Amino acid sequence: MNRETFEQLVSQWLDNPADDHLRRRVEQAISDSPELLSDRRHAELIEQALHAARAKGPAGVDWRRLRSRIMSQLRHADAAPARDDARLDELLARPTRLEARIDWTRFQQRVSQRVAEAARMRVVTLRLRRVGAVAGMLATAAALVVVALLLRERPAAPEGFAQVRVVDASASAQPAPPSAFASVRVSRPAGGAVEPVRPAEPEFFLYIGPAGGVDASASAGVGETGA
Amino acid sequence: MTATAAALTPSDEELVRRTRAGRLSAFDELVERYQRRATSVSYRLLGNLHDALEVCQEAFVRAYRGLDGLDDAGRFGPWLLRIVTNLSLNYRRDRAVGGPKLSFEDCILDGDARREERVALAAHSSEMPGAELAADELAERLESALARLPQQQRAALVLFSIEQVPQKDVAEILGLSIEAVKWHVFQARKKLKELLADYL
Repeated sequence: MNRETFEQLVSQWLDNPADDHLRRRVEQAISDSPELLSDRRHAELIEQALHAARAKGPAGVDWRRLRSRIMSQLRHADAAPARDDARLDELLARPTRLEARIDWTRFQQRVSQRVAEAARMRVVTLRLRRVGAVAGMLATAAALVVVALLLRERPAAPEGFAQVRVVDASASAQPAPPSAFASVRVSRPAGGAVEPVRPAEPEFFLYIGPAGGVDASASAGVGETGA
Repeated sequence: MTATAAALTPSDEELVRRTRAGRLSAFDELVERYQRRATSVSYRLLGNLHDALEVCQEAFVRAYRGLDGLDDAGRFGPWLLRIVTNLSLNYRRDRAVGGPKLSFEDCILDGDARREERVALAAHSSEMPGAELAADELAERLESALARLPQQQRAALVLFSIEQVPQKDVAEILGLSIEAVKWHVFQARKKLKELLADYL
């Protein structure tokens, strides 16, 4: 058994000196390695010194006085909360130095003035709020009317004929007076709901051909172009 | 203490119960019982008697205030030692941020009384055989050697080997496992053996 292991064994035995099993193991280890005997002896001496230290205790203490002092501290601690409350009440009741430095009459007047001003401002503010509320309601109503008008459904284009103007679409020419007129039949798809009609274009442009005379009574299909 | 006297002496549990009932005199009895041990543990952890007395007083005040929190009234002793140990181990850190240091000069015997004590000890040692004298010298060196141990080892050894607190109580006081306590005690013994080699 090496020294480190033996020291641990001895320490276990010193923890439980009445344990015979541990004591026998220690003695067996020493009989196997006699040089370990001094290690056991040193451990025992130190342990005895430690035990003896308990009996000695710290020297030079007046234990009666220490006890008295501790109890005095406890009594003081016991009474402390109630005493602290009383002290606080006394402190709060005491007039402070601050009070002597203030002109309380003038201060009261100032406060009253400010309160009166605040009251007036409050009245004005309330009136403005009322006016604002009424104006807001009127504006909302007007907006609703406008929206209603704008969203009114446009009637569909009636069936019938639309006037078509024929103009010379040459690039060089300014919009020239129409040289011919034609009529275009507008009709609705049969049956079912009518889809919203797009607003009709103001003019239909039909390029019929070189200006040379066109029979205005001739009908042409929408979108039809001539050569 | 005779058997009759022991029977008449109230247990820790009874004293705690009376204290909780409002009888401060019962706590006075607990102070009488444990002040030496509390101061001793703190002294060996701090190495300074004045600091130890301050810790001892504070520990008793805290114990009194927290007595309702003690679940097992019969274990007042280990519970108090836990407070003492924690206060001692945290003493230096708390002292750095705490209030003014209390004076315990009135609790420390004056120079004359201490001189008489030393004279008595010296007279006793002159009558002792050599082996006892050596043991006495060893005990003297032990105090300074203890101060050189790491904190946890010192606490475990002081509580277990000096104050003879059971290992499971030491574990509870230090907030460690029993195995950890055994390990710290082993390491402390090993270190002391090195420090006191010249006196063994």
